[in-house]
Amino acid sequence: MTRAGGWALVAAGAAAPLLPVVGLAVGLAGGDPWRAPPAGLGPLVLRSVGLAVVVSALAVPLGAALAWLDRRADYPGRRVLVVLSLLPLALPSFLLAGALRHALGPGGALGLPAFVGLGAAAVVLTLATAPLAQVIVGAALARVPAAEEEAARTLGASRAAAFRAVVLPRLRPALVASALLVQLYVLSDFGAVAVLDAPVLTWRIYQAVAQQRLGDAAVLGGLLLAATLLLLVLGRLAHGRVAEAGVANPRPVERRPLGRAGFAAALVAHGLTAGLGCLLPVATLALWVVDGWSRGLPFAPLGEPVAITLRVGAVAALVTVLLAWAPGWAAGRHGRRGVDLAVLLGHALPGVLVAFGVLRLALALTGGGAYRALGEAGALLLAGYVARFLPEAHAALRTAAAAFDPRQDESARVLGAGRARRLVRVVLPAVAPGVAAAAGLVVAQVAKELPITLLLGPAAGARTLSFRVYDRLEEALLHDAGAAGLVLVGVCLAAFALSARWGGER
Amino acid sequence: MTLPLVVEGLGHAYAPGAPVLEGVDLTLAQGELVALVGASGSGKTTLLRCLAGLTTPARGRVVVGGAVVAEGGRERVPAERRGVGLVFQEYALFPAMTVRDNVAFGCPDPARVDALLAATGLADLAARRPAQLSGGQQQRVALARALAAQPHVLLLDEPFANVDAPRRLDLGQEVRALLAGQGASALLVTHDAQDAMTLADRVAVLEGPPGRIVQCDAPEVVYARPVDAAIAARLGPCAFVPAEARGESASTPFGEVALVAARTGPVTLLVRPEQARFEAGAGDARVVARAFVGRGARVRVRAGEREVLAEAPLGARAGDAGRVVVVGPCWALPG
Repeated sequence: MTRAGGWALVAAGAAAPLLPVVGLAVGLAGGDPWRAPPAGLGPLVLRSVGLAVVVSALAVPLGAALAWLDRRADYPGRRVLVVLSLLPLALPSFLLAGALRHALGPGGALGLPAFVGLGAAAVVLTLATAPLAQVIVGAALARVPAAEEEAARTLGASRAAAFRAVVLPRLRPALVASALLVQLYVLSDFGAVAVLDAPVLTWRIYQAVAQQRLGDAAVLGGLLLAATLLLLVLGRLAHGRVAEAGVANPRPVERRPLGRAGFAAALVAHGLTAGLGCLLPVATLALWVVDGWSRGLPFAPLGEPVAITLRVGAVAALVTVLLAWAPGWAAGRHGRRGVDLAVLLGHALPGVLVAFGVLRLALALTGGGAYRALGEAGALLLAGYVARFLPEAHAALRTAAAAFDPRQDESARVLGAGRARRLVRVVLPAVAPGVAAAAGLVVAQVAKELPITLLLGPAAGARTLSFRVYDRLEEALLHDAGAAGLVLVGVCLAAFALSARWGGER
Repeated sequence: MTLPLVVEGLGHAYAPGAPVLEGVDLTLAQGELVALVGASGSGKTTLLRCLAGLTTPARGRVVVGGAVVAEGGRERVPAERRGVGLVFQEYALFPAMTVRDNVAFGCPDPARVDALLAATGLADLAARRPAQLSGGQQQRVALARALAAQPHVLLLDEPFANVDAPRRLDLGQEVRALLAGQGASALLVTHDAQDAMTLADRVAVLEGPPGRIVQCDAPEVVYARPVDAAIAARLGPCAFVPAEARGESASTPFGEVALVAARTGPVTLLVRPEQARFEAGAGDARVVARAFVGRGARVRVRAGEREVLAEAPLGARAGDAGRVVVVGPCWALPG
């Protein structure tokens, strides 16, 4: 392939996640009529940003505590509890919210008068995002060399003092990164705030699009994008000020057995994430099914939504990986930071913005007639999924490309292999696990996805599992929602587990 | 008969104004093993990459097996059609392929693959994957793989860098025997002068940056008659002694010494430890340090302003007084 051709592929892949922004710009410039929401725009933005800040203030300490338990402590059942604590990451937030809304609300375990609104959303999103912090802080904790802490101890520092003096400074970048990631997650979350009817930007944008108020959606979308960019810039600034010195092969610190009080605290932390964030929601779904069964209610068959989910996921994964290949290679092998930056910007785009951007761009480009055909053919849905999940596929592919040893390619070359033979015999076998991991990740994320599925799926007849769950929750057909939800949990877990196994991750 | 490798005036720079190689000339004869010795940063690896075709040199000419493969900053023949074998320091075996598939990668002839597997003692391991092999076995796979493709010239990048000192000598002889058995011409890059001298037909010394070959000759010549002090020190421990030359001999602080080649006037003599002997007793020389080296001791002796390394009886100790006897003939550094 020529150099220009290669760069065209890189540019196409890197630009795909940013297409929805073009759509949003078209919407803002298009002069679609709009009217301000009753309470004004300011409070709406404040509630969105406030929710993000509150959740990060709760989820990061909780996740960091779990990371410490995972890496440094020793207590009965640690391995199982740690894995259970990570599972909320694999659950769609709307499923978590739907189950907890009923489990904790009227008639539920706690018997609260209601489990809806901003407060409920903060609880659910904290449970959903604490594992993010757990993973990031845990990885950083594992990189802290034991020798430093031991040196501090031999110099007379207590455990706590050594932790404060030596470990904490090393964790700062991870803590900042987790906070940023959690805030971006909350700002872009649609599922939990929709199910819990929390008045924030994503939910209002969805309502505006669903009610064909495209002008309102564009203005709200512009605000959401601005808030997202602001967070990114702030995160960048905060991260710029902390340095992390790496150590090649740090010897791990010995685990510390927990005392009685420590064990009790560990159980509380696990109880929140593993119990409230995983076991209770799954048990609730199962109860709904059993309840429906005992009452003899008819269950809607699940074969079709499962087949549609897998088919849509597979097609999206194929197209996404093909598009992400060139940028992943350029970034991983040749260190093109610009490519990373473009793709990562796309990563921060909320799904509901992606759906609206794709829809608005298609409308502007086709002028209505072809737009319907595109929607029915599933092209818009596919474009939405690809734009939304290309950054995640990029990250997986870039890791695989970076891990590929260029000397293998050079060896094959001096042994006489041409470009095509090297690609097939040497490069692809080496990066195949990374490609599979990227594809598995996209399938899992498509199965979890809600706003793009709700806004762009029905036109194509793509009523996936998550569509079914949300639809039945709305209709209060809980036995159907429970059955579809359990299957969805299974699909997500399987796809994530396969992806992690292929990618060689934990 | 065509020469397997000719390099003329080769120069390269990764960034303008910072040449890595400059005016490198080198020729390999058929079946010859030349060792390229140089400090890290002298451009050894860049030179190998230029020869293999993985980097296009900015200047000069590379001729492989009679064909011009690079000339004047242009690639004439790409890496995959050069017939240059390259064995990486880390071997770079293909992890997804068996040993046999690795060796067969550049060789369509199964009989030759079998022969090389047998010659390298890998026949029983042919179905294994690289990860299931020891480091030494991996190295043999890398060698067999490169040799199977029947290159005009084989390039070996620090082949013993990952090998413990006691194993190096054996392994070096194994490699040498294998190359000789295959009639291969090879250029072996190493930072270890001992490896270079024990294995190679000729030793080429690369100094830089910018790297250029300052001397290329038989090991005993480069060792005993280096063209400058840096090469002398690179090839082994030594001392430099100022002397006044008068034809066939020169007078030094350690007495009168015969010269390898006639000179007159002030010169600097190269004195290797095996050329100097410390004798305890009367004299103004004093031992400042001592190390045990097997059959005897090696001592650092100070005499007046000068220090030399010398051989001494095991009983010699720091602080001992005595005299140093230099056994000529000695080499006077040119210039």
